[in-house]
Amino acid sequence: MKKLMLVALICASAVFAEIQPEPTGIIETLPETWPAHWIIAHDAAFFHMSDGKLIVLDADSDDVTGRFKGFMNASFIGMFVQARTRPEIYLAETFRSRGSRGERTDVLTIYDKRTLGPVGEVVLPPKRSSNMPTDYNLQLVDDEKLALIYNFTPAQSVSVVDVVAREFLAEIPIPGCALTYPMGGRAFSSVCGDGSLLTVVLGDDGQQASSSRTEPFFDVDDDPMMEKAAMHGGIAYFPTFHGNIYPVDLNGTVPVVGEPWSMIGDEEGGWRPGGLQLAASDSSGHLYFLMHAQGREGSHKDPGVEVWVFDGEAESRVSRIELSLPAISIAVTRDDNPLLIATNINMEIDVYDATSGNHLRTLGDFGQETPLILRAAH
Amino acid sequence: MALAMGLVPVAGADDHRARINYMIHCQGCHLPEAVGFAGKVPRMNGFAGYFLHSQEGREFLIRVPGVATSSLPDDQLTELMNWLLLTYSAEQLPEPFVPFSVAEVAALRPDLEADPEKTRMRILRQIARGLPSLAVELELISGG
Repeated sequence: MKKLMLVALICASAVFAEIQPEPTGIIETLPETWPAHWIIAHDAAFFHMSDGKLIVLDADSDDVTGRFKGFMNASFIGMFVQARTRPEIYLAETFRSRGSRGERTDVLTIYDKRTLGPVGEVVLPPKRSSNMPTDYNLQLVDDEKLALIYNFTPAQSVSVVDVVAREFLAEIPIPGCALTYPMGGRAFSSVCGDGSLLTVVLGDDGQQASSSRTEPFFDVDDDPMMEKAAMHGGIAYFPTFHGNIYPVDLNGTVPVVGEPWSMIGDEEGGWRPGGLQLAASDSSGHLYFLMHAQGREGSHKDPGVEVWVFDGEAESRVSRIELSLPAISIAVTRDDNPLLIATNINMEIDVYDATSGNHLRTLGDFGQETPLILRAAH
Repeated sequence: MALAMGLVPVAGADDHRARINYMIHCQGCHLPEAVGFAGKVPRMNGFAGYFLHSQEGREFLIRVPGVATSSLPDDQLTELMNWLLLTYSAEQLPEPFVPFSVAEVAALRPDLEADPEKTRMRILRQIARGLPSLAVELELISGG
């Protein structure tokens, strides 16, 4: 009996000797510039919108735990934009004093990309639009000095924030027009309900210096233009419901609307663009659109089963990528070996080689519920 | 009701079409019965007719972006505006009520109002100087 006891004690101490206590309390930081294949998934928490998240993932990683880099909170369908010249992410958010009710406060939160922690905020007029997230609710202009936030009460306006001085500057009315498309210098355009573009040029105080309006150029009834443009080289390529593209040059302070061209050509099957974030571009100028067949009145938000890739300058199709599962949103990384990332209908992220169209992996199980919008990190 | 108020319906107008157009083009923000949303969306019910007490106010109703840039053709927009005034704000209309004509609406629409919130209040204050009932309304609005 004594002998047995001794054996047990020896065994126990051997087990303890094998346990190396894990170091705790270690807080890691991320690099200032993120690798080209890192992505940000905006999980807008569609079914409980007060606590959305921006989740940072490595789309190259097959390691389920290693691909998760961290996350930032994004309250009440936050809208975000990444700076290129500073390691900062700007996020327009809404808070209520009692969580789901009470006094409303809107802020532009400034996140540090290295810590994913908030490092500042600017209080906004409590008017920002909490529509389904788009790329054009929040944009930077004037060499990333000014942030523009789209408001909807439903009177429409744009809040101007100096993100360097971190102060609110002005509210610009954009009656009858929506969203904010960045232009050259200190200017932006908005898409108007009559098929025109409104352009506002700002002074260095952020106030409106001048404004202009194009002639209506698209037909809001017969072939409406979508607000979801693929941007390359300062040109916004806007698709229409029926698959035409309006190229609009936003490099100056007056938009130049080009001749529309067809994505569909003589392709049969009733193909049309559709989805939530249905347009993307890569650094070579290729444009990507989510497409579905048998398009009809009301199918403009249907998931896409293919991604069609176009050369925007040549106005011709480069390739068709068949998706492994239909998708609602896409984005493309900005490097020489771009990845196409797509939120599929199971609310996972499919990763494709954007050049070959090969499906590489599916990112799931990262705590996501509704990753509605994807962005390539930089 | 318009007849009971001693107002003449507009010749050739289709009230049913006007009502459907209101539901499709206006009601999303201005809500059923044009009651608006305090502090955000102007109430037109029991109010819109005040604007016709000045020429500038009359023009504002067509030049305001929600009206001017609507996708309705001029004739249906004219029909809708006349219907809306008679249906929801007959008591506030001046005597006699001169309905909008298609030519008038067509001429005003392109001249879009650039700063509707400010212009609206300026016009209303001006009208209120000669119209005690509106002055009372405006105090109620600013108080609430």
